[in-house]
Amino acid sequence: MAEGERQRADQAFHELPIGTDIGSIEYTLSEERVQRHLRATHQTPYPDSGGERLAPVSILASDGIWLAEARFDIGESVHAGQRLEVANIPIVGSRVKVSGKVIDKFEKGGRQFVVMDVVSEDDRGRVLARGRMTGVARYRPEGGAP
Amino acid sequence: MTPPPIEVGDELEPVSRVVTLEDMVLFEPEGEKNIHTDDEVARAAGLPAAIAAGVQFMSYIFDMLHREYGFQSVEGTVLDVRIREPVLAGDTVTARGRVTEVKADGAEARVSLEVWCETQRGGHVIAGTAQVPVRAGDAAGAT
Repeated sequence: MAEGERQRADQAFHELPIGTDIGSIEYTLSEERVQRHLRATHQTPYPDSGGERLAPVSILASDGIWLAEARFDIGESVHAGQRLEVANIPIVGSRVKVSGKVIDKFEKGGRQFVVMDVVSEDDRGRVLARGRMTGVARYRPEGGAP
Repeated sequence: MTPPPIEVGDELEPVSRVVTLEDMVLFEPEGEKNIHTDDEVARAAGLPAAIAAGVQFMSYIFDMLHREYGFQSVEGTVLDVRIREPVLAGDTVTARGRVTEVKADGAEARVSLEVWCETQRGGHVIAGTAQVPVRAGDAAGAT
């Protein structure tokens, strides 16, 4: 990273307020997306419920990463920790909204870490999962390209 | 047949898989070219080759818990892990778990576990804790 870019990244990190709303992203939990995840992870599929297809809850573990990508440069991709609390099993075909905020930040080993709380909800108003993600992330206040 | 009671110290049936580059690519959004999908990008970042995303292995632990405690235990499960060693294509990753506490609450038990994924080298890929609500009749791999 160029010196000027590093200084801007450092400044953005130090000025990043705890409690910053990261905004939200949305995606459709399509059959294709679910099948791709099942193939990648070789999981035992859940049984259908009430005539609806269910997606494995592990698919929600990446939600925080997709949200973080919208406002942070996570190219260094040092993902230190992840907590996921499952509230409801997602339904295939539903629309998922992921929102979050910064709850902490710290420096360790010369790296700048951000801790984010993330909530995933579906278009039926159900909370699917609450997550907490810790990773190296350089804040981009306006989002977009770093 | 009634499943045996869950006791502290019980070890879960491990889930073991060889991680392929195809798995790693499928885990990322389609068309994504990053350190998890592309050896050249990974080498440019100082890595020996593409490394799997750490959260990929949370799915192994979720699968292990689901197989052990049944489908009804999925909602209410809390998994909290630290991501440690990188995984390369060709590594064998095994999810393991050990019961550390059982709290009975009526027809439900809250089971706490230490959980981790390890490679064939013995290092921990991810490690942490899980809490699982086990309802009567769910355990022993009922799905």
